[in-house]
Amino acid sequence: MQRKQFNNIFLKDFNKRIKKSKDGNDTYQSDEEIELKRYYKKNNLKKFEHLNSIAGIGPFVRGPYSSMYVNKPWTIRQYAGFSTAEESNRFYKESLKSGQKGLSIAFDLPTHRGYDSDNPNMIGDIGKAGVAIDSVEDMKLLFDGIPLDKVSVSMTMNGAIIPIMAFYIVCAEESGCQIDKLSGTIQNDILKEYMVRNTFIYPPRESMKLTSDILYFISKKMPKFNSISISGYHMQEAGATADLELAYTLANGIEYVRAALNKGLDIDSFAKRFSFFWCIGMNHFMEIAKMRAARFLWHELLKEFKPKDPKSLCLRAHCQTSGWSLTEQEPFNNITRTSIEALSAVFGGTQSLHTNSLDEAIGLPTKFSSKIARDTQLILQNEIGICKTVDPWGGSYYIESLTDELIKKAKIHIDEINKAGGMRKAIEKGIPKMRIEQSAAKKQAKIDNSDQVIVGVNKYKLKFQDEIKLLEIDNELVCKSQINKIKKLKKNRNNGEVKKILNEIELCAKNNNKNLLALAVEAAKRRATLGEISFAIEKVYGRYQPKIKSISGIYKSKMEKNKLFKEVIQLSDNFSENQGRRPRILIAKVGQDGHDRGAKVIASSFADMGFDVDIGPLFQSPNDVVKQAIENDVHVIGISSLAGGHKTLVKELFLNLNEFHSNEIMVVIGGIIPKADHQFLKNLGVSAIFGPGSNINEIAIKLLNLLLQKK
Amino acid sequence: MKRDNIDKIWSQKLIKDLGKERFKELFSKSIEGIKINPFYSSDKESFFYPSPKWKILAEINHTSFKNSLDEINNILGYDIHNIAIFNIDINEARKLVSKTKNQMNFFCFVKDNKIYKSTDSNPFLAILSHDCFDIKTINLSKINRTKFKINIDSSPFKNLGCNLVQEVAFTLGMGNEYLNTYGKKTASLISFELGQGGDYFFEIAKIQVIRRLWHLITSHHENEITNVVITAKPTIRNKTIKNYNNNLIRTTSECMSAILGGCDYIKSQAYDYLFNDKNDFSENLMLKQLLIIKEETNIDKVDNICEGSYYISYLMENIMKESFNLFKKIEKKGGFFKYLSSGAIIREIEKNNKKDIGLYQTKNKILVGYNAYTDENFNKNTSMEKPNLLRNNFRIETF
Repeated sequence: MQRKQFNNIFLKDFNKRIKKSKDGNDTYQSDEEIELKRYYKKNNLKKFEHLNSIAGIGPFVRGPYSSMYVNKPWTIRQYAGFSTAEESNRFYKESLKSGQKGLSIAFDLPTHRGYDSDNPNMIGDIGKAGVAIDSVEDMKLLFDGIPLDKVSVSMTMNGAIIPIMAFYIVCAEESGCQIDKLSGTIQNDILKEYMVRNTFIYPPRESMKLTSDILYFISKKMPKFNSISISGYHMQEAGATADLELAYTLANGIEYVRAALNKGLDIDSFAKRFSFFWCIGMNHFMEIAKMRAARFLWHELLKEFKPKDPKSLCLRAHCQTSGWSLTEQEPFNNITRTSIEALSAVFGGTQSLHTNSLDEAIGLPTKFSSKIARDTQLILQNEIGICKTVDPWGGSYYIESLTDELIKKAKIHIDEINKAGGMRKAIEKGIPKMRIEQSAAKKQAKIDNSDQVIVGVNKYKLKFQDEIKLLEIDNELVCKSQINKIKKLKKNRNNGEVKKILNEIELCAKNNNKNLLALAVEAAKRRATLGEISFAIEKVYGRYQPKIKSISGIYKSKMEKNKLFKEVIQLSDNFSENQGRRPRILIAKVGQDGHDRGAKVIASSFADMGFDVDIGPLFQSPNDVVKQAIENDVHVIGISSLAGGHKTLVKELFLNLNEFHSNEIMVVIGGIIPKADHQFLKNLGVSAIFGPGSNINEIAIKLLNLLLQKK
Repeated sequence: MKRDNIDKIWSQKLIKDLGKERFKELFSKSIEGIKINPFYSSDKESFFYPSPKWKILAEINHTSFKNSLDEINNILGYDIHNIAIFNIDINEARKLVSKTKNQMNFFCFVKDNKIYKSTDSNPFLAILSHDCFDIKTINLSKINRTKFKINIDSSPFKNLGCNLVQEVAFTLGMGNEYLNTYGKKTASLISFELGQGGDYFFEIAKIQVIRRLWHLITSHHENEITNVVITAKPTIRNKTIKNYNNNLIRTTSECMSAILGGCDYIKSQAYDYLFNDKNDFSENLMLKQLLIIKEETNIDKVDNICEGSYYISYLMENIMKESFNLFKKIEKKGGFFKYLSSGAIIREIEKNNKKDIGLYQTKNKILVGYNAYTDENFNKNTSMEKPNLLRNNFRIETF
């Protein structure tokens, strides 16, 4: 056969000839209720306002900087902190040695909530979900040997923001750094705490005063420091879809802008030190589009304040891969998930990134797992070519359309907040919390119905699970060490001087006449503790106790046809026929852990399944929980725990139940409970343990069967 | 902003931000010689072959009927319905098909010397694998051609160190030899299997380019194939035994790029493939990796995600141009087999391989854990590598 000759075949002739393939007509509705088309076309783009943008120039859709990673890749910034300051310090130094460029500090819950480690109610939480910091001395140990004028430090702190910021400043000064050289970020985003994360101390209005004091202080004295990191992260973790995360985070940002302006600051003196913090989940392209849409919207929103410096209009962001998307089941699968999420974050143009460790759904990362997490970023930075060009997805008909859709959706939510009188008022009315909880309940129903597959959880389950080694914190040891340090500190300081400055802080909180951070810096120098400084303010502002509301009907509406759901209804009807009343459950969070997505989803779905549900207030002691359970005559106490304090706290709970002779109340526990702790908890008397990803109907069936057997 | 001015303003902005000298450094060149600009802001009318509904392809090596049946049943448990079976006899394959009641779509890789006798119609797909080092086509003249497919696996070339342009040209060159030998009807028998490397956007573009150029070549042969079947799998070249867990990160990004580029079938590679025998733990992890991509990322909801991307369309255009030129050059010299048997192909690959290794040695290219970010605590001995992993193993880590 004669060879075909290609000499006279040219690409351009062929390219003219080929025709588009057929379009698909089916669409898919995303969680954000965006209709995804099978096939996107160029003419879908025509009316988009955000097109033809240049990175580094408003509206910054394609990136905040003109050269993005081509000039300098994103900062690998792993969030870490556990146990004592000394332990965390060792970990930070190792991380810096192995390629990490910045630090991100996780504090334990008592620190967040403004309590010293010697507070007897804090026992279970000390050193658990982060590092315990009680005074400037702890802060100095934390950063020992780390040049603070060279390493940028990000601190996740919102509640006890005043003492922590003061400790950091004094620590830097005492180690010889000038504070105008400090670079890094303080989260300082209190509004979202009232919506989702719950690590606040004071009421919203008063907390906003602290926020503006911080903004003021930093804008005057720390030009390289980001005074706020407005966080959508915790919203997505609590169940918000991309449009809600986007809208509420930006709306929070606007509220802070207004607060700073009210304080008399010029917009250009602080707006460019604002940074944002996104959660990056598994919805790959939605997340990329979210980050692009965010930059566009922020530019548009900030323009109204008429800044002169174009940098004031620019949104810069840190991202963290989603913890919620990780599974306890087959934790090595989480390497894949985190890799995909990390890809989204860098395609979206993040400025810094934390990648979760594979075991973060179960406990604290080990050396082994944190190395894989860090290597994920190193591989993306060095091996896949992402740092060669800016915004590689720019122009894609799909990505550009999604960006546009998210801009539109977010605007609707932002309008709703504006109509409510701004975010602080909207929070007081409970609007954002309600929307996020509704979205969480819908998501849960989707998962329980298997409309959304989570690999290894509601489909493709393994019969046998390999267990992995976890980092165990010896809570009692940390406690002891912290208490000793506080004792020593109080012995060696001039207590009269401390008292004097604490009085000044209290007075300032009352009269609002000075900058609280400036005073706290003075207090830190005199070795006042975190608890003391917080309490001085609390005496005037009070401690905030949120009203707990629960949504209803959403879970039911999505589940009515589900077989398991029907079975639960049947069982709970049987129970009430037998007992003359509905099964009654108290859903409680104990200790300082404010992550209440799980508790809220359980509460609203259980109510939909025929239970009488009581929800305990946040931050209860085990004793409070037992009292409430007895007063309300519940059949079951359901403890939700995510921050690692369960062993100590559940032990306390049972001691209290014994004391009140109320052992007939069944206790179950759900959340992040390592397998290794199961036997310990069962020995205490826990009837059932439910890990993350449990099907809610199955939980209810198990509970009802246990109750029916018992009676 | 007016579209025409974008490039100019962007460049000015870069110069203003970074200075002229640094600005020049932002432009790079790939190993193929393709220039990469720091930004792209327009696409020529791009054409994209929509990703069909891609499928996960599992793979087993046939040792006995019972073992294969067990493995197939295990794979069905993952709701995976496509399987490649190697070293199987047609009669054995037929038995497996009837045992699994059409739940599984079989791709049976059979030895060509064993199939000549088979004349009855096949309820399954028998595949002849073209070894890319072979200098002639599989002899099809004796067999009933329509019942078989020919799979051209060009991944060994990639593992040896050829660049993307070479990979595309050689792969298509091999395919073209069948069309020249057996005529245009063979076009519909041919499928390609590609090794997917780490360079994310280049690899996305590559799959599109192969589709388009095969479309062109077959249309020149007057049997237009617009949707050639493409299987993609991660390469071996950039995988490491030191810090072996990182292979899971690499294969994740490689599978993502293959899927976005529009492959029909996707295979992954176990993280311990280099040094362990096939085992349940790593196989499970590998299949779950693909299932997570399929079920949790929503990337299968849209068929032409990449279409319009300025950067990808630029890469497609240039890779297409370069590789079609190379293809034409090879054709001019008498075609791929002639070129291969003259030793020219191997020489060209070797040349590129040396260049590539040089880039790693000078740290212009980084393989994490190999020439940067090494960590003795996590190292496994590289001598653990399985023997005969592939002919002339050219893994980066072994240099």
